[in-house]
Amino acid sequence: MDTTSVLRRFVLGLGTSAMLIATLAGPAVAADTVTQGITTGVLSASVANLTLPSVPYQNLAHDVTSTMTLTVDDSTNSNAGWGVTIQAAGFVYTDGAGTPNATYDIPAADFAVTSAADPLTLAGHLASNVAATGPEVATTFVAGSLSSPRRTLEATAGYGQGTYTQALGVSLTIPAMSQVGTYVGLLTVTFVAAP
Amino acid sequence: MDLVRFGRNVTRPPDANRQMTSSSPRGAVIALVGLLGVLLSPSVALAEGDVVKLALTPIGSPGLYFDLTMRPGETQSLAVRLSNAGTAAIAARTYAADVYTIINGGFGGLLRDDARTGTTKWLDYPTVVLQLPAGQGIQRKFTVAVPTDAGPGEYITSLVLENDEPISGDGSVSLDQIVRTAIAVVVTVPGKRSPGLAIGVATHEVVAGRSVVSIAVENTGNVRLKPVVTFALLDATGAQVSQASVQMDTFYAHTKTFVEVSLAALLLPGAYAVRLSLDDLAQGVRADSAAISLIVDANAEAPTGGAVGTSPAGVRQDRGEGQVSLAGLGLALVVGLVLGGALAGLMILVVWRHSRPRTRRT
Repeated sequence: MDTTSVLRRFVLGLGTSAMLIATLAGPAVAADTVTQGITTGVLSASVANLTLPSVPYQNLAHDVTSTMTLTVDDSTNSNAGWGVTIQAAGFVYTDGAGTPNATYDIPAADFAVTSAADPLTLAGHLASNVAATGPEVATTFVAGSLSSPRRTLEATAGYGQGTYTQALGVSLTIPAMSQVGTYVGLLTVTFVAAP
Repeated sequence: MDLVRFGRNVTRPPDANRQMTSSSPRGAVIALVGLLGVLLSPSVALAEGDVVKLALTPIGSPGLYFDLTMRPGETQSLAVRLSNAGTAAIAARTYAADVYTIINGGFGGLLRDDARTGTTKWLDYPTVVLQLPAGQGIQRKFTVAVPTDAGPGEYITSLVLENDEPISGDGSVSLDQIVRTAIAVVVTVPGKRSPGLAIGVATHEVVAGRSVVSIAVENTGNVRLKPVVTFALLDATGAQVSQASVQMDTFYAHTKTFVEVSLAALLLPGAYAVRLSLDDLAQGVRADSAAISLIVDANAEAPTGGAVGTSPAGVRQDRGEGQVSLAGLGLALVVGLVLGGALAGLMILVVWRHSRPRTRRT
């Protein structure tokens, strides 16, 4: 037997194992994590049609309006009710070459939700606009800037087991003399479980 | 140390599979590099239309969030389940976040880059990004430690789970998207309950062609409230222009927020007074403010937009009273003079014709 070859293989295997172990443990995961399959559904949401129409250069400030579609799915079978809030960060500008220029960023205060339509039911419990049940437009909803979170859709306990869509009217005020380029904002959609 | 196990959706380059069974040292190195590349590479960027299905669930606690009663100096060990019910593996970020009250009440959680303060510091829950395979989840333990000098009352913080990489939008003006789930961690320290409310200043803005009046409010007490808000708007003469009643959602202890009332029309420029009351009968606390000053500036051209989702407060305001423009007044005067002159001229003509002697033709 070629001792050198065996030794080389042993060292390589040992080193490989060590690196594998170090890699798998890489992220700072708490020491007591257990993996398991899940058997219950979850709350999920997505917002579609987030692309606002392009507009030509203008010397004056002007508004661009659009409609986003919020889709909410409660497959938890918990009937615990839920609420959804949305908020936005400012729009970051980059020119045609992909170079950012903060001078032309659009602040979040200029992006507003202007309307929240009654939800439509795709599956499950029927949406209801009767207060204290839902799913329905949040009773506390007021149109306004998305620099602050806005609760747009909610369902009380015992309701909301299903899939729903909600049309949200939005408006972005483009500042005067905004430059040609790309403007990308960040929308955060939050499911809440809280008193 | 227990390891996070990857699900069956993790794939390896086929070459790496073959190379890993080879006895060649170079093959082993190539396989190792390939495997490291797979393990360390970030998740494929989500595209618009992808659905994030992450769940955060308390373990060993009833309900959908943690609701604890703890004394000063006490520590509890808790656990939460972080799950991915989507169809693809995802890099999920989890962190503890401060809680505040959003406009008109309700839960608000700070974002990933915001500072952790107050009650959030009671949690031992470091921020981490986890690779969650599709259809799998992990349990994560953490502790809550109440400071020895904590006073009685309700304290609230939260745990958040969200997609680490935003879902990309498309187009020259677009939105990337973070979808997150947040659960509250409520800690009640036994002792005297002292509810309290305060009312601040009022401001005005225009949204979708309508006036929105915003009033600063504060929960100065140590318990959460759900007050009913009664709003009245008076013009400079003291006449009521609008009124509304709003049931606030949860107003968390030691937080400030705003009550916003959307009106059905645009307010005329001028000085107004807001009469506001907050009343939580169940907690036995009330705050009133008889006359909060509100100045409405001359409106810029209001943007177009759709109707407000909930019923806005009606506005009773005669837009012509005391507001007739000089141009309109002048036009009315001219028209009046012309018509009056024409009528006078006609009367003179009639009288003159009747007073003339008739001449007989021969």
